[in-house]
Amino acid sequence: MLGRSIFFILNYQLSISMQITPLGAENHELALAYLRSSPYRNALPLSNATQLRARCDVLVAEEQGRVRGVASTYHDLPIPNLTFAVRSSDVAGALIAQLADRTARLRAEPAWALLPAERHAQLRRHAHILDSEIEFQMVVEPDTLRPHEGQHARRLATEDLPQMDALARAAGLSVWHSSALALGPAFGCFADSQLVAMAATHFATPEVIEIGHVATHPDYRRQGFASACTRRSRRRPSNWRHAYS
Amino acid sequence: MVLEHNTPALSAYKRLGFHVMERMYLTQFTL
Repeated sequence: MLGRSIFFILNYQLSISMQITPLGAENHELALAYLRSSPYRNALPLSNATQLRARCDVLVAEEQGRVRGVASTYHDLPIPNLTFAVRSSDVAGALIAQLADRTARLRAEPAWALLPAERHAQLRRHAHILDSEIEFQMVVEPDTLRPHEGQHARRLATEDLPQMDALARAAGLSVWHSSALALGPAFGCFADSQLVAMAATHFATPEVIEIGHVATHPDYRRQGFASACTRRSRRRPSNWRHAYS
Repeated sequence: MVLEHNTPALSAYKRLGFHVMERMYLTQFTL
């Protein structure tokens, strides 16, 4: 009985001393410093709080002037989604609940998250998991990206968007969005005049660039086209790092 | 991100110099 009482008091104190507010001028610097402490693991939360900020809802949990966690959802994706960075499962629960209060589609239909193991376990405490699939976050630094011999990739431009849309459909890309060219460079390989492979930018923050929308037309696979496109994506300022998606 | 079972893609990215940083869970859920 004594143990239960102490547990209740601790949780009560957590709820009354923690504040959750939208990311804004007052908490922006603290929230970014919190996320930048682990730039690869927090790559998605960082992108939502910086480059993609205008298209995201971002909430910050604070307690006594210290950030306890950050959660966000990206409105442009065709599927409901969220991501978060917290050190305590209780904070995750509070952030997710408030995020869902503000974004109705998070409760209206199944949603998606891409999380490391620890955060997957935290989500499990506050959500019903329908399915999980393992993916590897692949990383390279610009100076260790090896040369690729063979196919030639060129930078894609606005006039290539119809072909990029068609390739995304043919390759079955799940989160393709035609705003990709606004987020960073994209590169493509052509056979005759048909775009047969591409690699674009999911997001680019000062800490991490996520290369995404990597696709090869089913008729042109295993010929090094995607590698050539990805290789070209390295041409960024030397102090930027890369995460592949 | 590369699916765990997509061996050709994993091999291709490793040939370019990429290495695995973290194992991630692509998760579908309801609240």
